[in-house]
Amino acid sequence: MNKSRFFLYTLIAIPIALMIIPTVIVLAVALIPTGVAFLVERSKGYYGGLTVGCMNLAGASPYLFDLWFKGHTVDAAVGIITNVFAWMMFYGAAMFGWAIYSTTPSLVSTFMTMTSGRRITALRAQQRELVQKWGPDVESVYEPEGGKPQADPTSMASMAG
Amino acid sequence: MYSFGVSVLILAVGRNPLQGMPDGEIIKRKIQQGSYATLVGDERMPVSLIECLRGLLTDDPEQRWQAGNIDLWLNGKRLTPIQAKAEPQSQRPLRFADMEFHSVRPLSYAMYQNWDKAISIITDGTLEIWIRRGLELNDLADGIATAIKSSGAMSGGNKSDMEDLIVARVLMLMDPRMPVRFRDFRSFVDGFGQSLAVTMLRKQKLQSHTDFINRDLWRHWIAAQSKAAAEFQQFENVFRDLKNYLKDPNSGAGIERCVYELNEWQPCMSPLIEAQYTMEVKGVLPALDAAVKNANTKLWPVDRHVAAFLRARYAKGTGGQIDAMNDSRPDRATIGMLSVLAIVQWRLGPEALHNLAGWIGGLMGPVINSYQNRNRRKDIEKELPKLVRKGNLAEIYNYLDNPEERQRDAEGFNWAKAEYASAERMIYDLEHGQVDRQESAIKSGRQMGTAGAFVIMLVTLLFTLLAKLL
Repeated sequence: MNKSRFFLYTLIAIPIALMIIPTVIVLAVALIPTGVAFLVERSKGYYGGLTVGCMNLAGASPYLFDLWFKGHTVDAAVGIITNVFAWMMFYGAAMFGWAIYSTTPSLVSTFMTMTSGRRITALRAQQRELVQKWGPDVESVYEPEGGKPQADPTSMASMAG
Repeated sequence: MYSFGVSVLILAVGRNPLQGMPDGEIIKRKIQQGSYATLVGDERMPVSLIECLRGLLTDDPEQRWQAGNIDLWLNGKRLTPIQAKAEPQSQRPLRFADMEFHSVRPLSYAMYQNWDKAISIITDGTLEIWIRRGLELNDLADGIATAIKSSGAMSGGNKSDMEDLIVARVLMLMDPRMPVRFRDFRSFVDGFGQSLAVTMLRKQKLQSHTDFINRDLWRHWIAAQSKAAAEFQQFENVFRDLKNYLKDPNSGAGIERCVYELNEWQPCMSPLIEAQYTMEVKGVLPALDAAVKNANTKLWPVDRHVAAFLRARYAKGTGGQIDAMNDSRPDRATIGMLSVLAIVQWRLGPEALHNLAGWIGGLMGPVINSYQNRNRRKDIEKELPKLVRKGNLAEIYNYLDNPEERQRDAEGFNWAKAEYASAERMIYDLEHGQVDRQESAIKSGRQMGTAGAFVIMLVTLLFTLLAKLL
């Protein structure tokens, strides 16, 4: 982002922020976990920050709606940010988001491993049928370009299966 | 005619004048005195027969009386046989094997009888000097010198072989009328075929006969003859072919082929059918059919003799098939063997050969196994006994070597190989793609988590909003 565009956005954002100061106060406190998540996120895509952000915002939404529907004042905003339950809600939801971010890759990996294992078993069965019908001369060993494949303990396990 | 002359002489005398005399002594006397003088000896011959007997017992085959001469003699025409020219005699004798010799032919015979001693007087120059100085036969001496020089290169470097070849060639030069003599072997060139057949029938060693062909002994004998004969060119062609047969180690060639090529009326000498005296190609299959009872059916019915016999007698019909029989691949060789028999049966009959078909059926393992498709093999094993019962070898051949089935099998096999390789590659990719899959799973999991959180957020916002509004 170049300097002139940043200056333009700042000029637009400051008046709006001044108009919605109570909301800004609440969000500034509520979305701290989201900011931390973006900061600690190292991988591309900012999936951690987004996941935590979504859940964090979902957790903050009841208090934000209360603020908007029952009086959009600084006092009301201060009342929310001094409420322990509100903090529990903000940070609990953020923790849940972080939990989602942490566990889904391993769940997906397990699922994919199970799927490929079944596929290998089916291919081995197909190969056995070919050998039964056409004899051992149909057998061949696949060697990828650039040399023989290295031994892989997982392949041995799947062959045994 | 010579034998006829001897028979007439024995009848005239009333007994065999040489009865009890060793063969060696008879030959020696014939060489020294001539056949007539040896046979007649001190016997008194009827004057009327002397002319005829002299003519029939002339040692030179070209001078010997033939049937026409006898006819003329019977009609009263007087024919005086040309007297053989006296052999040159040396004043100075040559001592060899404790005997003294004054002429070449008797010495030649003694050298043949004392083969191992003969080489010494040849190589030390004694013989050549004696012939040159004592007999003044310079052409013969030059011929001996040339034979000694050239035999070294022809024998391939082996000293014993070289010496044998030198002795044989020198004996040919010294007495061209004698047969080719090579250690224990002796044969005229035109009688070589019969000699080979007899030796083979007696199951004796054939080394001398193969040497006769391979070492060109016949050619040296022809070269030693003083006069060229019309059949010599024929020998050239015949022995060139024989040499090629000997070089070829395959069935349908070899020494067996030589014997059948040289003896037009020689029956097949295969141990399988020898007793059945099979002289014609047409008789080979019935003979084999009858031989099944006593044959080892694990061996092929087309052995080297049968193959050579068929090749020599029926080359046009069986040449290609016998070539196929010599294929290095067992399945192709077996189907080639079947094709040899099938084509003979198809062309010459008989219509059914039940025993031979059964024998052949038991040998078709390599052909059945040449099909890759196991189901096809089972089908053949089921169908083959039915064809065997018909006894038609051509049908068996056509069924086993069906080109369409062969092509289908080959195509199916190639497809199966490709399928196997494809599966192998996919398995490899699945097994060796673990790292990539882990990265993919992490990325997908994070995306899915983010998407899920976004959905939860939207739902929460919606419900909260609705709760406030309602």
